[in-house]
Amino acid sequence: MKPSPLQLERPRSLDEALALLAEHGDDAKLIAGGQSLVPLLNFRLAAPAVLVDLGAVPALAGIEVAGGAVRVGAMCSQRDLERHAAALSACPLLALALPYVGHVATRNRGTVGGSIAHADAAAELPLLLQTLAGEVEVTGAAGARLVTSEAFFVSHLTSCLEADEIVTEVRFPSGGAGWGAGFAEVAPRHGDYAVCAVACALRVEDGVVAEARLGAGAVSDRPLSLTAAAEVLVGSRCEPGALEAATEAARSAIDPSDGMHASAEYRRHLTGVLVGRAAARAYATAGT
Amino acid sequence: MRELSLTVNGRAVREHVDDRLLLSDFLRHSLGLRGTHVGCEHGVCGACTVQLDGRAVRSCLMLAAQAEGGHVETVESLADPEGPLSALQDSFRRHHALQCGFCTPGILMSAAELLAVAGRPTRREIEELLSGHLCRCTGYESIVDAIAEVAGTEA
Repeated sequence: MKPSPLQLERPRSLDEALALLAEHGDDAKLIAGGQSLVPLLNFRLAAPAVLVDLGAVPALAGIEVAGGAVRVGAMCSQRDLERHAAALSACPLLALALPYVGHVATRNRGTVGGSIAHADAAAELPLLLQTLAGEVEVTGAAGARLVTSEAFFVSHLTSCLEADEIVTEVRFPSGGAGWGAGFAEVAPRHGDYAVCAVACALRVEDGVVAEARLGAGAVSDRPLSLTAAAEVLVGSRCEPGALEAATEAARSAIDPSDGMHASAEYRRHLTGVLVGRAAARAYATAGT
Repeated sequence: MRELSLTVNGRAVREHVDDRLLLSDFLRHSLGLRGTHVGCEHGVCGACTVQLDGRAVRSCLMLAAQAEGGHVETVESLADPEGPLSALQDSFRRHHALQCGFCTPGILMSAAELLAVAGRPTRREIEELLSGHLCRCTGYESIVDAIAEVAGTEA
């Protein structure tokens, strides 16, 4: 239960970090908050020769609400984002979902960029980014590029990030007037990995859903955008019939697998139930 | 090996450490601060929780070298060994909020942050905080009671 021998590098700037990645290649592993990686090191499921710690790169920690998005520096802690009033009001899904991310003590260390780069299919922040069709700023030796969430999340614990690239910023689209948000999750205990989690954002005009986004986590090998179920809600008033139709569309859009805490059939059922709850809550809070 | 400088319980510390040394093991083995308990060593049980720069963190989920320049507070910082218990510790004692005591140091360090940050937390907030700590003795209610009393939480 201790990490294998390793060399820790603590670069002071992004350029230094990139140079270290270039120098050590596949021997190097980036560490952000370490709340997912250090357990893997302790179990020796991961044993990198060199750890490149981004904790001393000050430029990566800011939060800015600009350009229609909450732009979060990759090394911003989940706890700092959870307490950032402007960010939460611009993107209410963050306020709803962040309390489900681990526990206070892990959110104090865990970072937003680290969670995105870890690309856990059951994690809340990747689910939010995928639901909202956000973007990830990825920086390599050649400069920075923006990657859509759809392109970023490849499979469980796998993103499109190259070995010499670093996630530098995460952009959660902010809704603005008329948008409501809902989030529903079931886990064995608070803070555990989700058995299923569903995020929903709706824009409502005159009581009618004008735009809808729905996503589900822990039901596939990556966070899923439930576009068909979202489309069912557009034009509705989220009345029981519309919620039932969205529930049915979500159920048939996924192909979950059996797991320790739930069978595939239960997960499918649960996804439908949580879609109904998240959509109802999003509708109830839209326009307020 | 590297030289590590940080402040632990208000005292400047300078030690040579292995890069792979966990903060929890540094506190216990290098500094002899055995109030920090090590349970699961993968961030689930919460027993090893200490404060880094005023925030509760799992000391088993970071390397000692990552605390370079930081201020670490362990359970030993809460009260002078010869003096009275802190208000939080005394409340734990009166509410029977511990039995074997293994989980207690971590819970105290988390609760101390909550009290410092949240002013007067709700009972629900205290329960949410405790979701990050495993206790096999108390059933948790007495721990919530102990923290709530010090926080002035409405019943």
